[in-house]
Amino acid sequence: MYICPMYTSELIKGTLKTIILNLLKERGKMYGYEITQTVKEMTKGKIQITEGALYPTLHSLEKKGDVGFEKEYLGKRVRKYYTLTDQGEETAQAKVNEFADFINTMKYLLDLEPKMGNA
Amino acid sequence: MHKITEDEIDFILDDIKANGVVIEDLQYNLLDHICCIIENEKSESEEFKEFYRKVVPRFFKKDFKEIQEETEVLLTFKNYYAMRNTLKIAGIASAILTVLGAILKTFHLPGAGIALIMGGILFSLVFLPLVIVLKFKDEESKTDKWVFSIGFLLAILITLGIIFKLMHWPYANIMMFSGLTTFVFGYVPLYFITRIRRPELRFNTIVNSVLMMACGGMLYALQDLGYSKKTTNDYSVYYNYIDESKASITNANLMLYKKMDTSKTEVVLLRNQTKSLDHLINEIKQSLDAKILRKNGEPKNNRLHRQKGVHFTKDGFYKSKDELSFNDLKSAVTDYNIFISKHGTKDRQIDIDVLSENEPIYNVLVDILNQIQLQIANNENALLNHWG
Repeated sequence: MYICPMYTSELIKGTLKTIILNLLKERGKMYGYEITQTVKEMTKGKIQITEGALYPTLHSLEKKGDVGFEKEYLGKRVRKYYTLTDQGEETAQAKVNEFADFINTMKYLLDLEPKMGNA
Repeated sequence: MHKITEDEIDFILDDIKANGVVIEDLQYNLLDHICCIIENEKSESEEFKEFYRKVVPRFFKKDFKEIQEETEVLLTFKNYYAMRNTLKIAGIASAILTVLGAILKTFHLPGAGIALIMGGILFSLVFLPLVIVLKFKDEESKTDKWVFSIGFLLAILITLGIIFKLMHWPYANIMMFSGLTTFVFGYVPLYFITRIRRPELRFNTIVNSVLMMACGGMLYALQDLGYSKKTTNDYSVYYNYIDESKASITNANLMLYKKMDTSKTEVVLLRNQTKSLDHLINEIKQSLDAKILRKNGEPKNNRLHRQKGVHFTKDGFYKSKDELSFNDLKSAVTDYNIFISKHGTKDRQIDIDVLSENEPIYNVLVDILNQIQLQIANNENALLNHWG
């Protein structure tokens, strides 16, 4: 579901929640379009979240209670600003920690950063 | 920057709705998102609708519905792992309970019924539905999804039918019969046809089809088991016995009438009472016969076959609106009992409470009627001997 000019979707699958939760943690409230644009800018276009993946994920996070929302009425449009709940803060932290650990493991597993000092 | 008009907003919202997005929150999220894109990315020279058509394919591979479906899947399968665990536990529990129930049943130990029912209910109402739901998520091929689901639905129907049968609840036969018929003649061929052409599944398909056909076919054969010849013979010996003793007593009574003064009032009364009640019962039996014949068609040469009239006696006899109903019999028997208690002991009275309390099935009803006739003949015989 991702359009990501640089990374294959298999590679990024499973990180979307981490990205969204962490972004909300840093920026407070955000709406859907803003999230996609921010990610695009921050990664210089390397990761582009598609709408088809973003909204289902936001809805499921909302149901789980990780994110809450505020509605803003713009004429006939309704803009939903998503915010992190207390539970979401914990989930975000857990996800980031898990991912950091994962990256380290992968580095070691794939021998990307040979351990220093043993030579 | 393009300023979006209200008409354009309506147009976008209608398009989202028309394309199968039904969750309202999602509709407004998408609407706002598309509006943002248009406001930020559309150049002044581009036409609105043209730009819109260019933008929306970013949202999906085929159509908008995908987002709706993906959302539903994420919302529904939040409990995916909980479901898998429930499935495992329910499966193991139902297997253990069923085997336990079968063992207890074989050795006539208490608790067999409960174990079997619990096992069956867990299997048909927890395990199989979960299998269907999970299969729908996991299975890649659309045909396989449906084929498997139909099979599991039929399995639910058959299992429930068997539980109902064990518990003597109504509609057990119709459930088992329709389930098994569809399974053997509909599902197994469907399974075979949809899979046999795929070379990698060929062997498995053949083995599975034969297994299902064999199991389903055997259950199907058990469905309408009749009575064994031995049982029917036993019954006919019993019926003959009753018929013959009644005939011999009636004959003896005729001889007795010949020997004695038949002008005495009590003798005349006895003869009339006996005759009229016996006649009424004969008529009732004939009418029952005719009614059940109309309902079930020609019997297969034995009386047991008519047991199919299990629920028939209620309308046909107890609540019958025409003549020869239970009430007619009851008033005739009351008359007879008044007469007999004047001349004999109380235990010669005919007790038909058993008939009104239980409303028995056709065969038992006819049986009891025969026995009443036998008792009338016996009473007649006893009084004649007494007076003679």
